Amino acid sequence: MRISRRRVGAVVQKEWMEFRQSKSILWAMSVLPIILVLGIIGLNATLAQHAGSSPDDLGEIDIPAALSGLSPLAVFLVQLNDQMLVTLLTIAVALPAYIAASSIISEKQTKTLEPLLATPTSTLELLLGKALGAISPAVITTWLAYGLILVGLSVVTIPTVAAYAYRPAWLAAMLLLCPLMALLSVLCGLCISSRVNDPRVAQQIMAFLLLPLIFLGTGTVGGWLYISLPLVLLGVLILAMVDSGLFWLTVWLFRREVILTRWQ
Amino acid sequence: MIHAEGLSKQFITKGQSRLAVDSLTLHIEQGEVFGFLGPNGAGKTTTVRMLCTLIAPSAGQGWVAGYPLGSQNERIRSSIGILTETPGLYAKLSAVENLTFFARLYGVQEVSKQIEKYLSLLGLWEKRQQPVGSFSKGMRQKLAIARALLHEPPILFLDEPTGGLDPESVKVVRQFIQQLRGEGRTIFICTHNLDEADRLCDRIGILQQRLIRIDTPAGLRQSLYGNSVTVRLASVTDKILAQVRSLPFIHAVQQAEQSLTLQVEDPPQNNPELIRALVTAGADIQFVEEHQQSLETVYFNLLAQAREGSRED
Ligand SMILES: Nc1ncnc2c1ncn2[C@@H]1O[C@H](COP(=O)(O)OP(=O)(O)OP(=O)(O)O)[C@@H](O)[C@H]1O
Ligand SMILES: [Mg+2]
Repeated sequence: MRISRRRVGAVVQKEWMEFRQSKSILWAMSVLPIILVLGIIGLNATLAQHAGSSPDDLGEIDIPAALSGLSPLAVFLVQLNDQMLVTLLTIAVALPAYIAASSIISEKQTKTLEPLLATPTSTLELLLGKALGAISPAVITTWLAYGLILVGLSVVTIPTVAAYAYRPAWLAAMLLLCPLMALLSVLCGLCISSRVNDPRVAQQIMAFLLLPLIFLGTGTVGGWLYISLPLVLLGVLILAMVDSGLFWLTVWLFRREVILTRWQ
Repeated sequence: MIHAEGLSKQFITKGQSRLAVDSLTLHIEQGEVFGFLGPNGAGKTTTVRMLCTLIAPSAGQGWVAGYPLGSQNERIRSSIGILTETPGLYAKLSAVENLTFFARLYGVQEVSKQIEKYLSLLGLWEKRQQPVGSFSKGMRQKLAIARALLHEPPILFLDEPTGGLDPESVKVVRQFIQQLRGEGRTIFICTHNLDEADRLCDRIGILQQRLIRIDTPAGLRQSLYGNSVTVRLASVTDKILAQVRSLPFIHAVQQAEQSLTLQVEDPPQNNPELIRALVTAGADIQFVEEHQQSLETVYFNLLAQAREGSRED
């Protein structure tokens, strides 16, 4: 099977041009990350001023081994930041899901799918283009927000706390886990939307994808889960396998004729 | 160029099966303009979709541009242009953005040159930067026609190219099709407009699930009863009627007061003899009129025959 980069590129570019016109996507892409970036920097700036004092009431929660040498306040801040960064990752999952689910369905609704399928574009090229088109804005937004957070933290917070925000585990999570999670969500979106005609149904089903992240976020705050490099790499490995399997499933499920004719 | 053998399509919805196209066999030569006529639900769009590899036939085989349906679909898609029943354009994108996207998918080399060529030909160049959502129906239709041609396909499928357009746009589109025909392209047009089919097409196929008839427009007009001639007489007598009926080239006689409408096999050749026979029988001829059957009459008659035929089955 030959993949034409030109055609995949054309699909990606077209998706981008359509987002540019879509207010809801632009809002979701900018507002959520901005709130997170401001929240995380603001909280650190406020709390880091009490670095001298050692509030005893923070000693109640579990402290992961990796943080054992830190002051209770620093532990609290690292855990807070970890939780915020997990939340940042949810953007990378939720946004592509939204985009991908609407993508195929809106092509069905506006009847653009028929002339599109009449071009020599293969199913693989089409889905690859749609997937990359939906992932890229989310991943780039996430990276941008992460960059801003790192810059902000290095200015406002305790240096050791700031360093924890770019420890290898987080770098790996942002660089590898984030695109893979975005891909997972996009693939679920494409898979579902080629079968379902209502974008809302597709979006609701995909809310389930957020469950593991909520678990991760709760664990971080609770102190019983620490985001370590092995944990992230394990996640990367699992996701890479799930993603590639799901990609072929999506291509296989995408029956051009059924998608075209079931929609009346 | 386009060849179909026993092509059929059966749709199954909610456990009910419905035969949309029944064993269609047809051959269309390169450079031919073929008109596909038939009432709503006759299976025209379904046929076009099968030939454009958008849906797979349930039975039968087909070749488009020399490639077989099914195994060489991507090759076929590169060789054809299609105007779908609904234009299907991205409303948020401008005319140029829409065309650029499709030009790249078709692998067009000189994208902007091709876009300029077809937008200008169809009178949309001035509007090229406007979002298609703001376009009128006619403008969208023209843009969709431009899209079908960007990659200069040798074969073009047009599903109701002038449906729902105002007379002026209809004229523009028809002139444009005439021009394309001059370029030697094979054009397959689905239409409800008999006049359009008559004027534009080399051959016409009439479909009602099955292909009822396929012929040139002139052949179709003659096919049913030949041409008819109406003769007005001072009075019609039994002797005149008997005389006329005895002529071998008269296929049908219809009498209405003083006039006789006769189906004559070959009017230019047979009329002189007909008139001599009438005069011999004592007729006083006042007027002789030829009237060709309209394609519309032929169309309705053929469909009525087909319905009766299927009732008898
Ligand atoms: N996706 C589909 N699922 C089920 N039945 C279908 C489908 N598409 C078409 N049909 C049926 O097939 C038959 C032929 O439809 P088709 O659209 O080909 O007709 P048409 O000749 O193009 O009609 P029109 O002049 O209205 O465009 C109709 O009875 C229609 O109901
Ligand atoms: Mg139709």
